[in-house]
Amino acid sequence: MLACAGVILIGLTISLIHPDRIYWNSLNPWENAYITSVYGAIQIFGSSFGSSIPTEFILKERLLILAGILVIFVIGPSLWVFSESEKGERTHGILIRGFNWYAGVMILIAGFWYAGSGILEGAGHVQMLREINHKNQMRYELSQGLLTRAVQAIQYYELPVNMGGGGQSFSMLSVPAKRSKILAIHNLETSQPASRNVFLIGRVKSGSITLFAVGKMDGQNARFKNADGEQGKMQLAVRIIPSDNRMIHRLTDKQFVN
Amino acid sequence: MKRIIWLSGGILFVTAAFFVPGSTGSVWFSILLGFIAAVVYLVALYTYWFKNIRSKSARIGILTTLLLLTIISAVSSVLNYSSGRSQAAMLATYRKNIEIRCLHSYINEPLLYTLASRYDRDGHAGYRTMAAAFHSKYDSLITTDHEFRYGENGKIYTWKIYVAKAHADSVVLVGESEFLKGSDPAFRNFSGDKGRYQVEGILTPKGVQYERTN
Repeated sequence: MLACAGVILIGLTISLIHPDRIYWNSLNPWENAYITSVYGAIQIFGSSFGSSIPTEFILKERLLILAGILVIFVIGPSLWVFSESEKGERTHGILIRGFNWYAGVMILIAGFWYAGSGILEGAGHVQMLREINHKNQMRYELSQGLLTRAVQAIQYYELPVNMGGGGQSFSMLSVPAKRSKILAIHNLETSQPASRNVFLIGRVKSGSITLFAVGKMDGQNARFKNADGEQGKMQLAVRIIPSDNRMIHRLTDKQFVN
Repeated sequence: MKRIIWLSGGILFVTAAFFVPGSTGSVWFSILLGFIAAVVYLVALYTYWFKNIRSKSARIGILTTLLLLTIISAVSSVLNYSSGRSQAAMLATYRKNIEIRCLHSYINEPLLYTLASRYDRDGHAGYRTMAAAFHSKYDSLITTDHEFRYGENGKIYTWKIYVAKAHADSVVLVGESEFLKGSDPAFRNFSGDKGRYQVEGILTPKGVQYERTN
């Protein structure tokens, strides 16, 4: 009777909290906790742009987590312990277990399943997130460096020749074809200490210039030919057209970016 | 009857512990308290019902299972906590990068346009001073309290740009984030606020200099 009441209670709880989430894993407290904390982070992220996740949603997730903890640590073990303390009946020498025993054991198996999958997924997530975060940070630094060079290139273009600029032309940055791929941008260097990233001038026209940034980290395509002669490294590119309304154009074509 | 009391007592005890931090605090703190309460309940349950459990093997089986479940659940909880934290940190980094990148663009762009209008192709000055070049393009975007509403077009941003100086030979724009904290909490920002992230773009006849001031 206890087990029946427990099962009905669990079903009712989930259907009342989250009618669309009645499935095997919906009571997994570790997964639900992970989801809730990620929503919390998205909430903070989105609120700075004026959007938000309804607090009602987070409260529902919280109730599901509580339901999971109650089922795994209170209802399941209690049913098992209670049934083990009952006097069992034997038929042909075999101990006949009551419904409480089966319900308790099933819940505990689910508890092990939840915790085990939580360990596997949690470990996988931590590793994956570390890698993604590292890669994104590298890409951001590379792109920030490229943007700084792009600003300097525009500045070079706009300044008169007698002030060290190009006098509204990039022509003076043209380099012999043989060297163009590996030339460092001496006149566009910043005062920042040299990083692991390499910045290069690509195609030069009087009114436009292409700049490349090559990082030391691997890009998406291992066969990609980088502008500095390397292969498969992360690469970003911009085309600068100072006479345009948008002076800096990010290149997204696969032949430029990796 | 005794069983129902135990079961409902356990549910109430764990629920109460779970809601100690309230319904809006950190979910992980709620889980920690709920988990501790659940372990206390399991210890009490096992101790109280120990004598009633029929066989020695069942006692050992229950004890081992509950111990294992507690340990595995604790490990799972810690890993998911770290994972959630990493995800939150990643989003915070993205948000920070967006803010820094936008400030960089929104300060450099008008200064570069000003520089472009200052000189013509032959190097002759199109405007008498930097301030004149800047004001001729952007005067309508500057409010009385020096706020520079560049690129807003009715949008609400989490940063503000101010015209700190517009002199004959230099224009200084100050960008201040309402979202990011600066490195020095005591730093006095241009707006009068304290400790916010702040950058400065300085336009001189030699070009644009961009630096973080807090």
